[in-house]
Amino acid sequence: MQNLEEIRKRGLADVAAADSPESLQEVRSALIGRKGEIGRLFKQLSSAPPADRKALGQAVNQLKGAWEEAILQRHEALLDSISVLPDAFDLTRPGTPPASGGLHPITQIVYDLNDAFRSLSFEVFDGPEISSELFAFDHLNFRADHPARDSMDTYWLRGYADKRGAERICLRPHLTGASVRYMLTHSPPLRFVYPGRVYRNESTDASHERAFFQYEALIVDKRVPFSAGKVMVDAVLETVFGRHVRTRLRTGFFPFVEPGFEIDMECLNCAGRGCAVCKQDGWLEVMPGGPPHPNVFRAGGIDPDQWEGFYLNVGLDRLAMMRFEINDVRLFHSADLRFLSQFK
Amino acid sequence: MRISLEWISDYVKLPQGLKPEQIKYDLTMSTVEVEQVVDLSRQLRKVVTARVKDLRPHPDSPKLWVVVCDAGGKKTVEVVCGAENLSKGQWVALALPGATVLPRHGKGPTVVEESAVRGVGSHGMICGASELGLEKLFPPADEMHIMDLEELAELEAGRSLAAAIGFEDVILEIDNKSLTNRPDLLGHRGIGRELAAIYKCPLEPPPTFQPPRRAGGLAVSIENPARCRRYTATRIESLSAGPSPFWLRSRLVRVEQGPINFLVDLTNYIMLSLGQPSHAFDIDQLHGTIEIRQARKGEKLELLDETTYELAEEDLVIADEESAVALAGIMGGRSTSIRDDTDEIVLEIANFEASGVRRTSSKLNVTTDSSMRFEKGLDPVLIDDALALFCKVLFETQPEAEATGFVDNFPAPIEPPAVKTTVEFINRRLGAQHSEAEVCAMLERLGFGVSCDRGHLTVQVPSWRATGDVSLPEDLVEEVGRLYGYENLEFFPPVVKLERSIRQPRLSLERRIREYLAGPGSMREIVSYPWVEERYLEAAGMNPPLGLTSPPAPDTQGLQPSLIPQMLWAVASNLRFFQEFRIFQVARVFPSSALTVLHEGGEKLPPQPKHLSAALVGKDADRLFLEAKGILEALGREVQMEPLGLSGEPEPVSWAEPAGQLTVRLGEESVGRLGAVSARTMRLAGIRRSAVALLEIDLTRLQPLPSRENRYQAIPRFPQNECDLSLVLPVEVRWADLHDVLGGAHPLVLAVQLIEEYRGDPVPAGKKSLLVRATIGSSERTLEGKDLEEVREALVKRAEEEFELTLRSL
Repeated sequence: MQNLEEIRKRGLADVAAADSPESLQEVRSALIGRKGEIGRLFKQLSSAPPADRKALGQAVNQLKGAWEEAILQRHEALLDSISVLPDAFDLTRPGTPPASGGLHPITQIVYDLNDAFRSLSFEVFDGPEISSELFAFDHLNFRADHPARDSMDTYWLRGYADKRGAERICLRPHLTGASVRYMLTHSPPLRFVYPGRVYRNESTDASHERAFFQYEALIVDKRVPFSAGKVMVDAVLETVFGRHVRTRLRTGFFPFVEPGFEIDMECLNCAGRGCAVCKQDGWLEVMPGGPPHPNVFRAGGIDPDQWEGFYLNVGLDRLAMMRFEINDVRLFHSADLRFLSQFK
Repeated sequence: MRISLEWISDYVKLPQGLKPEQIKYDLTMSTVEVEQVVDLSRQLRKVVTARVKDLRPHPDSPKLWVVVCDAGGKKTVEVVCGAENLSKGQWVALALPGATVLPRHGKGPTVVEESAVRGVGSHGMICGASELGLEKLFPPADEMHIMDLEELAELEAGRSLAAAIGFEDVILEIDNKSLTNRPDLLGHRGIGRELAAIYKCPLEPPPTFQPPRRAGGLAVSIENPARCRRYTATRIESLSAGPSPFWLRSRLVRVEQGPINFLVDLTNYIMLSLGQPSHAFDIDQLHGTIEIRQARKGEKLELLDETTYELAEEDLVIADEESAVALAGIMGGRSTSIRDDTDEIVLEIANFEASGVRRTSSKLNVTTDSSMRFEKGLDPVLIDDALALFCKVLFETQPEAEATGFVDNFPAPIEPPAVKTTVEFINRRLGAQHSEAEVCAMLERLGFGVSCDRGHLTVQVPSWRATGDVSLPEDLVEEVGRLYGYENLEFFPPVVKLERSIRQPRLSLERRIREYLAGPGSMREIVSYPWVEERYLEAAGMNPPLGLTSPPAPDTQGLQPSLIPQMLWAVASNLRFFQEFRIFQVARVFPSSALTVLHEGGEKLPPQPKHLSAALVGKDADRLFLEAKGILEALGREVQMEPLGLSGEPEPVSWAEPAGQLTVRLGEESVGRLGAVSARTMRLAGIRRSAVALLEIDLTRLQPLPSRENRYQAIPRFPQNECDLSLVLPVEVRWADLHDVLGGAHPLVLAVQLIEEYRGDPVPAGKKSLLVRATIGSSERTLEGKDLEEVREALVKRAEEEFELTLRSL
């Protein structure tokens, strides 16, 4: 039995000496594995005198129990030394970026605005980009000789430029025509927005584009005093700038509204105190608006004596430029990923 | 347009202490946008009028003088000066230390300081006109001359120069764009009238015109009264040549109109005062009666700009009995223009119809202050005031001049409209509660004649607002609103009846698609122009059926029939900076010129469906193609729409490789295309060292599902097993066929997936190795080892029967 005691001590010493889970596993196999020490001891049992066998068997089982206990304890102790990471793993390495895409900045603003206007129960509407003069000008109370009808201003289509009205077609110079389409197919009261791209024949530079984005809204109801338009103005500016922005209505002229308004917002760069951005004025012109001209209502099949309304006509490029501090309007149509990838 | 507040005081006396910044604000809010307020006296600060008391040569320089100036009070100022036109007793402009001047030789504004010039102290600077920016008002005979103030009356030593020359004045710079619809505001009187209304000040009565009795041999005929609504000709004799009086020149210079000679200045003065252009003909060069007529076809006319224009019948001219002598409302002719010695003129003050002037002006590309005003549509009654003011200034300046003839041809006077409305209507639209008296008072302040009967208003529009500007009750709402101040209106939130929620499935689908592509699809959304450069159309093998009459560039005339050409452009331009990227765009395309789509109101338009196109750019066309295909296959489930199918294409498109394109289908219908861009197309589009997979689908034909359509399928009760096979097959074997065969090989096979395809060593040429995974299971029991063995054998057996198969390994 002296012998067995020595074996036990040696085994425990081996367990204690194991300094990693791997070496402990080796020790475990050597002690209690199928071909290990315990196995060998059990084999020797058969050659022991029969009278001793029982006691000896119990002793070996005890030995096995003691070793198992010791191994378990040693394993627990070793857990804290186990690392799932490579040696000296560098925590300052940059994270692996997820595959990234993104919407065009104008689309982002359009979707934000759609959400805001839907929350006010406005529908979203979309009209054709090639329009006839009828919807681009006639229905909108533009004089027959209005300069915007010239090919110097509007992109007329080849083969149709010399025709008139419904037969003269162009890339739409503004969105407002779409509102008449909507009026013709829906009965008031109406609340809708219609985002889209419009086209003007211009020379381009950092602040002028031939193709640009607008966002318009129209509300028509029995009673819409001018001041009601403020809800729409605020919806636009709070969505884009993320906070309330002071605005003011002042007189302006646009053929499709009567009266016409220019809507100014406080200059956010200087909080209205006056700076280079606002030319020391404290205010920036951001959008026109106003109640539909009676002729526009009539063109849309709506009785101007029964219904009132308010239009808002937002130039999205300019708002986006202010919001994102973009200094060249042509970037929106550049398809340049160095520009686009900056917008999340 | 520049408006002088001093000039305005001819028409209205504004309240004492009213600050120019306040005027700027109030005019901007109520009438027109004032862009800037410029105080003209600021640039002349610390510049005074002084008299040369004494002058002596500089002890140390033959070209310089030491000048002793009387600068007011008992003060004398010694200044060293190099001017050549100095004399004792002369009145000069003296810039004292602290004044800002513009030195002759560049350098920009400089502040005058006390200094010493070659040992002699100099305590200021005697200025030349250009040094004070006043060369238009005091044209120097020589660059080295100082300004001579001799012609000014009532000079006083030490008084500010600004006060002496009328520059204690403030200029309002008005945005011309905001004047478009207000032709009555194109001169000082118009702005004065608005200010009088805003500040409740009385307007000064205008001078009246006393026409001479005699016709003076003048006869005027108007061919078409629609284009020339009124024409007055006044014959004036005994004029003397020479410059305008100082006060007139000063006013012109302050609004940046250079003085020329008295007659020209006077016509400009009338225009800037009242907004009414006029023109003077030299009577000696005019032959016989005046006719306002259409130009003869091909008629030539040399204008004052010394350019000869060839006219067409649509152009309106003033003609004498021999030829055209002026282009109506735009510019006078050279042959009849006044000269330095002209002493007898015919003065034209007329009214020409707006659109005709605009057409001719823009066609010939001649824009003048006159044409700019006529284009806005002027009030023909304004001519009376213009005649009166012209005569008043003329006869005050040259008492010996005499009007010896006058003709007023006014074939069709306009009856200004009377508008009927109610106080209630105005209040309702404004959301205000003005009394009847308040409404009437506001309209009257603006010059409207108002008669009121228990809330019912009959409003007589004054002639100057009857140019198309005011004709409706809504116009009167605006007049009251802007005068009351829109800022003062109380806020009324609109009241909305909620009847149903908003459901716009197609619109929502488009957004889900874009967000899916920009999110899980990891693509960047781009936008590009709808007009395409020919190069990319050619690369895509397309012809645009629709084009523009005035295209942005000669090689960019066509509108995109598909998004492919612009996607090729976007790929090519981004390849300069990136090797691998994914982009998409959604835009309308214009594939046909047939005007087939009937819209409301009889409008026929070409079809303009919204398309989606995506490009995957990188090195391996096959991998990119499969990634694009994967996106299309997943799209239906991801965005809740009817799933898309893909099938071989019987009519290949030229931009994709013939063996590398698939039709995207919705049911039986073709809705788009997926292809690996061909080498030829890439070369034509300038896409180098890259591979591109492109897809385009017609968004308008996709079908959104009415709601989320996913159905739960029970999780299997019994465990399922996977069985991987590595099959070596001829490269021609198609996965679709192999999939069908393996799927039907044994009833326990639930699904078959392609894990990997491999070609190359050790797989022999002409073969490919496919790693295929079959999912095996039963809904009734747990499978045993022998079941798996049986299925594996069945799979291999079926593959061997159908294909030339080598089983490579387990």
